[in-house]
Amino acid sequence: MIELEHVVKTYQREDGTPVPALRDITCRIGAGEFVTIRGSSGSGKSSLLNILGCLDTPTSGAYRLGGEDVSRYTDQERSAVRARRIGFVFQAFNLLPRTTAVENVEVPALYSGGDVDRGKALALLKRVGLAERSNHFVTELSGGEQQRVAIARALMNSPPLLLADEPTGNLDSAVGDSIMELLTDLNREGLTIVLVTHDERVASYAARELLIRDGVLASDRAQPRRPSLHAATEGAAHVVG
Amino acid sequence: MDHWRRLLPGIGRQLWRYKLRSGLAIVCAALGVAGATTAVNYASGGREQVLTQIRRLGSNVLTISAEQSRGVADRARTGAIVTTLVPADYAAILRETAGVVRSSARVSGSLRLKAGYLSKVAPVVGVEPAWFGMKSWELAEGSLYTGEDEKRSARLAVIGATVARDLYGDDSPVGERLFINRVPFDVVGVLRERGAGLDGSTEDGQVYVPLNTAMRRLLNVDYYGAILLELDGPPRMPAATRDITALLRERHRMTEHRPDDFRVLSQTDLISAQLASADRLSFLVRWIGRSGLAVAGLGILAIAWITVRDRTREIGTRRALGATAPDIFFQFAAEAGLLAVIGALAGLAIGVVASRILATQAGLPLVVDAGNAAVALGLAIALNLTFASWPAVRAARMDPIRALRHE
Ligand SMILES: Nc1ncnc2c1ncn2[C@@H]1O[C@H](COP(=O)(O)OP(=O)(O)O)[C@@H](O)[C@H]1O
Ligand SMILES: [Mg+2]
Repeated sequence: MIELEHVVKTYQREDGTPVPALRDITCRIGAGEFVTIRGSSGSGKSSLLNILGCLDTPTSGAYRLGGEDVSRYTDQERSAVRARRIGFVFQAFNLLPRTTAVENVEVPALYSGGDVDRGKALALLKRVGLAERSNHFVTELSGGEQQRVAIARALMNSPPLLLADEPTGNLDSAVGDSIMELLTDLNREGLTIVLVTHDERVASYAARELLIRDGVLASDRAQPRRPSLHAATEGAAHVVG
Repeated sequence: MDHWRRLLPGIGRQLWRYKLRSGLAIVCAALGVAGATTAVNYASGGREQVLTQIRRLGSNVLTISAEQSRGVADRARTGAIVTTLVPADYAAILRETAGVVRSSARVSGSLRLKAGYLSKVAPVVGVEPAWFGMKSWELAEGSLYTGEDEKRSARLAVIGATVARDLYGDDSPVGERLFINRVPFDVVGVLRERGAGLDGSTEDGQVYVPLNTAMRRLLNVDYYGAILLELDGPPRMPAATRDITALLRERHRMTEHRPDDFRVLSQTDLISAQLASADRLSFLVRWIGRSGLAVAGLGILAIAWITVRDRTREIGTRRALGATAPDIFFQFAAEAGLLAVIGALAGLAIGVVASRILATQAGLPLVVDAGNAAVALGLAIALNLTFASWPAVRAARMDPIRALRHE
């Protein structure tokens, strides 16, 4: 599904000096995988995720998404790719303020060219365990609930790929675990997930871990899935429904 | 373009949920339009009034008034009574001036009126019957006094509408008794209501009696305040003005360096001077109105600018979720544009009401200048859309990654 070939990203400082963020990244991620990208702060994780998410283009190298080279797409074309083929989950949830949960979930549908399907938005909220919260304003929700709304929103246009940048970074570990359980379940249902974290514990949920150091892939290894320790936690109980 | 329709419900919700900000933007746009339309309507009202006066007066009337010439520093006693414009002057003017159609001398004084138990002090004006015709002033009821009444100094009075209301209420004053300084008069007619003059004074509060009656029985004077002449055409005016000036200077034995003790004014001179000043006022007022629109536009700009800054993260999020740069532009331009349009329409309504109140208070005719209102509205909307689209362009051009990182 994802193919990166010799991807280089070099930012330009204000004074013109180049900042190499990604040096030479080559890797493949297949459909249905659950991959974490782990590395210390400043190692280039977000830069890589932004390129994967078509928010940014590589300075050089190729990025093929589902066989299409999207690295030279125009801004407009990348918007269309983001709308239909990629779901985003952010560290700070990034829900629209003064907007209800269900209205937030509907946002991607505004940009995908189809009609807004309220029924689908409600079904997704049910899927993440927030059926009763759909008409609540986001400020009335806890952090974990907000991140669930954000996940439902990422799924609104049924994208095959979900990208998450430190999705548990603003949550305490129990709630973070329940979010990871939810993502694991979604992956089992066929969703490809690429998740950025600096946290080994979070990384252990995924079947494969890419370690990034100073803009270079330092290791790429498969790992045994973390056994679910939280079958009875708040999050897991909801996911079942 | 068509898919922007889907953004509209969200835009409406957004505006509704940010009530303070939306309210401020609406008030801003509304005040601009209200100010502009009110100012323009007010100026148009002033101009309309001058035009009405022109229509009333006719363009062929010369006024010779007894007054100290101003502009001479040591004699600038403008209130001083000048007693030099006398009946012999009047006769000489009528004799020497070509093309006089009709004329009337005029005297006036403030006297006490009494009717039944009601009493008030009001200006009493002595004029010949021709005066009403020269002023194109018609009667609401009754009749005028005649030349015959004039000759025999009859004690008859024609009263203004305000006097009639104040002294006789709803009853018809015609045939009633009116005491002026204890001298009994019969009211023969009531004049049609005219409204205030340019200087705010109203002629409706005056009482008119035959010239001779006023001079002999009421004021006891043998000089006039003014003489009005109507000539048979505008071409006569300049020569008549010159001749009368020369005639009166000679009759009053004015040596070369002494200033005139009278003034000859053609009504058209007077009116065109007033019209010019009304036009100056309206020019000024229009500019004030336009500045108001510009200030309102800047207010909208500031509010839209702050909105875009505050919602930077939202912009990044929407972009990540698939919004194109034009989608973001539309979102912000439509939000600000909608507020500008609502505000402009509200401002128009406020402007009409304010014009009405202002016209009533200033005693000006209410002129709702529809053309101007449309221009102000169009200008406001165009200006506000332009001003609002600047921040919207900024929002659209924002780098999504940077916007997402924004705190
Ligand atoms: N827009 C930018 N301009 C300049 N340097 C940048 C920019 N974005 C990221 N960088 C630099 O690139 C490197 C990688 O950043 P990032 O991908 O955000 O790392 P991580 O997400 O792993 O913390 C860092 O050194 C960072 O300072
Ligand atoms: Mg990062």
